[in-house]
Amino acid sequence: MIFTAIKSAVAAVYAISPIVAQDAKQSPSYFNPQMAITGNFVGTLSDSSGEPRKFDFREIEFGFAADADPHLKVEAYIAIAKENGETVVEVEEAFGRYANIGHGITLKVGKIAAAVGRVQRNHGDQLNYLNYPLVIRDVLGDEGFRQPGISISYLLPGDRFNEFTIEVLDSDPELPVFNGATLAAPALAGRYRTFVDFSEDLSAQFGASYLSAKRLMKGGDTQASVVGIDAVMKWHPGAAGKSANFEAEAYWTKPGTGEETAFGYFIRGTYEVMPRLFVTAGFDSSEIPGTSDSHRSHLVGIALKPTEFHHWRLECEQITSNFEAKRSLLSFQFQWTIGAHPAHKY
Amino acid sequence: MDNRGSPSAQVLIMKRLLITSVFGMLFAGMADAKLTVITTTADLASLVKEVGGDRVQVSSLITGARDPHRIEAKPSYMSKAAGASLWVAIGLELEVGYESAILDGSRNPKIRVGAPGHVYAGSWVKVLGIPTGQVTRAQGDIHPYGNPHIWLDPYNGRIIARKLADKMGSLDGGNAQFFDRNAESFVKRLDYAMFGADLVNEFGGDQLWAWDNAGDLAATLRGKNALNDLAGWAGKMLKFRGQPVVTYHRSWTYFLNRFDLKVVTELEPKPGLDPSPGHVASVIRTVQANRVKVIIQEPFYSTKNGQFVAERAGSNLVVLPGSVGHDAAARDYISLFDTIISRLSAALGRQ
Repeated sequence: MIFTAIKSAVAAVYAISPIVAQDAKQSPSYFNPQMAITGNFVGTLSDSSGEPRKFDFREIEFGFAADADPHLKVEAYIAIAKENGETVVEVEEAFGRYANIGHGITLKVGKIAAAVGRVQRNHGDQLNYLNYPLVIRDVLGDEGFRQPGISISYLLPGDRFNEFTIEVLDSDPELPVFNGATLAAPALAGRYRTFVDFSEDLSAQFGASYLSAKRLMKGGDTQASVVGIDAVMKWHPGAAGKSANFEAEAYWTKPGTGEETAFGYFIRGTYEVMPRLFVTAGFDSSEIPGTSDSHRSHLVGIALKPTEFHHWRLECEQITSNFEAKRSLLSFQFQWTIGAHPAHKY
Repeated sequence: MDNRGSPSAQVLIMKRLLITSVFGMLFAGMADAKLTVITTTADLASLVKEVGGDRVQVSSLITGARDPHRIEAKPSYMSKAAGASLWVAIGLELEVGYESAILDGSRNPKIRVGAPGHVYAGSWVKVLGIPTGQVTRAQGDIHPYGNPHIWLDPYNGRIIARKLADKMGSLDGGNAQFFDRNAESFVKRLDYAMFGADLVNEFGGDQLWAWDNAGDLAATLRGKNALNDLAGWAGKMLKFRGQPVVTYHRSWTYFLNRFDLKVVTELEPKPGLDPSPGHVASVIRTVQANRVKVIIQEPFYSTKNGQFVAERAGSNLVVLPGSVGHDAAARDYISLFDTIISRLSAALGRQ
């Protein structure tokens, strides 16, 4: 069924007449991609675990976007990141998107952030806090689930936003949910999301996701699966300098047939207490799949965003668990963006 | 043999009824099909309504109460845009933070950039405020292609209405003449509102705008002994020409240029930056030195700094609707200017 959908989508792409640019003005950089560079620096002011204090770049992300031709738009996000003290180059996402197929269909091919939940699809620099919530890290990895594959999403006709997404992605045995097992088949992901405008100021998005992959085990094949629900509510009145948002997600993870289901969730709220000054508070709880371990986190942070292009953040997080001593962290972040104007994503 | 009552005949009749109903509904739908237009701002939506009347279905992404720079790409905007045949945006990077995400999310090839159903009104008018020299973000959140607040010059509204009629007529040929008639009717009402009916009937709107664009309106009318007949917005604002004003954001460039008011400084030290105490102190000095009577800002900015400057420097803070619907009185494009000019002229006229 998926391959039939892909076939019809590809056929539709080539049925569309190429779009001809109407603006005759050209400059030598006309065909250059839009480019943005984001620097994300994080420092630890205090860590009760005894880890040495440090101030280092977490990642420098290079983002590129351009129309490749009348059919295809390409986006690529490449990060130079620090991982366990090593500097590595990572392709966070790189995909082509056919968005002018029509009939409500979008097709993406390449390395993509899986359509699982909402927060993990955002890049780290787009979060209102320093790290992805515990449950995302425990189930989908420190940077979320980003793998090569194909994604088809369908926007239902009508005034209300209703979108279905189905993805076939290369499985990553290093993902916590797959726990190092040999994977017999690609992972399948699916998501539904809907959106409600309660008023021009107040709106919310609700989503439900499913991720599954077959694992080869000594005792026979088994199926790992994740079910998630997510919600975000935003209040943006017309007046400048006032905003609030609240986000929550919950995940039920089954690492294999007959294994215990691990449950985790987080809630986070951010309020603009005065223009450009944001306070964030959150609570996470997560059972680590395939183990009897669990941990919880409380965090509070404050961010000063003088413009859209840079901010300072101070965050205090306390993590308690049944497998290590309580840990308290006080960290700060300095982040900037140069180049193309950042997208105002919902 | 009459077999109308037999089961096969009943099935045949049912099939014909079904086919007739389906085609009936289909063609009824086609007959009622209206051109669906999405605009990014309420001002553009008002102009589309003037031109399209009841033969278009138009909606704006935002009401006039929102700051068009700070909009998020809400999924509901994507659904709105999904069924549109025409997307009308300002351009000049006013919608840079959200247009691309909405168009991609709409999956609507008819309104993608470069498609016949996508237009930037900013490409139809003379753009002001194009930065010269090197452009960097050290200058604030500037627009490299020029100031995007084009709708605040009524002359631009006139141009946009006519261009919209052409564009909408090209997409819906059956209503092209209707759109042209509506655009001309709107242009005439706009001209009457700007110059007064007597002068428009005597010289024609095009001629009056040409004199005004050349900066010769008052002199030319004086030479023709017709200056006393100048009414409307131009008549009300005539005596204030050359007066200094302060604005909060650089959003009034087109309006002030049209009515020849001079901006001596802005409350924002640079576009997009909040006023700092040091800058506010410098604004107070500038207001006092230039005897500025009026500080202009839109309702979505905090009035705290403007009020402070007005009190300290002996000026007046005037909160003006910057868009249609921003204020109950500014219900459409023409009443937007009625409201702005009525409040502004009252404030400028105060001793």
